[in-house]
Amino acid sequence: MRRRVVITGAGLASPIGVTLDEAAAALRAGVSGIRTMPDWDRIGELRTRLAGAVPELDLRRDHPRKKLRSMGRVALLAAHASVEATRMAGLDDALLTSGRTGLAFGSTSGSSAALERFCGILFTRYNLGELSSTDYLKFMAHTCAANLAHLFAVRGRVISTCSACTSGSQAIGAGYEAIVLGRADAMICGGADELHFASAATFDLMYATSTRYNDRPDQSPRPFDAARDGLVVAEGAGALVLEALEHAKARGAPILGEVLGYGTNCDGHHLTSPSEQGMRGAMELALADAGLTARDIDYVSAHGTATDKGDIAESLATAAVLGERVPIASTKGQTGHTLGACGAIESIFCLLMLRDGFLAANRKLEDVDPRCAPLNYVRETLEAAPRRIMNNNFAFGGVNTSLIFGRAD
Amino acid sequence: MTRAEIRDRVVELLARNFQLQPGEIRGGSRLFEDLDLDSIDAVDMFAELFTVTGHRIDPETVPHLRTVDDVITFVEGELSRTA
Repeated sequence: MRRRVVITGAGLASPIGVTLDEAAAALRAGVSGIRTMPDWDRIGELRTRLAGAVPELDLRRDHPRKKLRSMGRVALLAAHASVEATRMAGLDDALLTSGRTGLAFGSTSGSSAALERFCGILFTRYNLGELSSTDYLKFMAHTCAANLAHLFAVRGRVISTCSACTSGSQAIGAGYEAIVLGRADAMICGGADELHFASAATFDLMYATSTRYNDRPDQSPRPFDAARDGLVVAEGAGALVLEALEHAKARGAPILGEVLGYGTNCDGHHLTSPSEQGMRGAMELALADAGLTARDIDYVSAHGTATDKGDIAESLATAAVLGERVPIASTKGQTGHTLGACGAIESIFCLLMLRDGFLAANRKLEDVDPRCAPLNYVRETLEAAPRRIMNNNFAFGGVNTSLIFGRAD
Repeated sequence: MTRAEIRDRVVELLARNFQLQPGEIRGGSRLFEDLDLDSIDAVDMFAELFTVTGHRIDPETVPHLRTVDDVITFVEGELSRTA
């Protein structure tokens, strides 16, 4: 029989909370984590001034100097979430270093602040003199995976899943598959990203950022709403400890939920233009992997970034696979788009809804865009007892993921 | 720059970069054993010394630096060589 995979720990740093309980309360209350970024006035031609930032947090904690020196903000956020997750799971040093615990983690890129410093000096002064050898360790693509592995002295497999907005969800998928295949007993999985004007600029150049609400940060982003005008970049980190059910039971670990299925595929179509067909494919793969059908899904946590084309394609794909009955919401209306972190943060949100018995709503969804499928969009927080939730995420490159989580019982 | 001034700069940069208290950095302190530096730290120490000497240091020409006094003597030599 196939090994079952449960979640025994979770931790996050998000614009709406830095602990599970804080995030759950904010989700229920429909709080917005979006603020204005007056500092971005200095970036010529940048149109958006909105972002979701993680509230002030002592990210450096009590980590020793030799663990900290190679971490930029993105890795520090990842460390915050991962330490919380491993503590909750009760993974002690013996388990972490056993060789049977691995790690899968991703981000859209390494630390942009470290890259800015390094390239600022190297590309304008053409001189190595003031550069530090640790700058690279902060901005390299797999900085989160490498630094977390170092932090926990992990000796099992370490996988970097840097695939932009599916970095976090692909990490969970990779961890789940490693455990199903028996290659690991536990996997620390997640995604992270740090707020920097570079990520805002990337989407701004493609006219994908929200710009009409710069003076009203609580009005945007508006996933699926007719008046949406683009995404709001944000930062954060989410980490989950995945574990073989038998392994978790044997050591009496707390069980937060179960990974029932995972699907990932590629559109094979276009680098940035979304594909309804590709999205459908990922959801169908996840259902098949879980051995479930559409009516088994009680809620969909949508990717819903509030871009024009993305929301339409996703709603049509969701309707085609799951029908129009299933409640659906994008929590990006509250957090903004945490990019490499969103797959992990939103998976944690799903687990909180399963744990606490509620369904989060679409913030600022007033009039559904008539071009979007007529789904059961959640308008205000619902008290409910969901048993299975699907979490979908999609990334540049045509990468799609769909994860299905089940309640702990 | 006098030797005392070089000492102050070296102690300051070691303290700032490697989370050390200036009081615990003595001339005879061994970099690796007493101050807990490692190979990455050594590279960063050289990067910081650039701000004192004004040029990047060629590790091939660096004598074996064991203690804080060795670093001070080395910087003194570099400065007099390029003066």
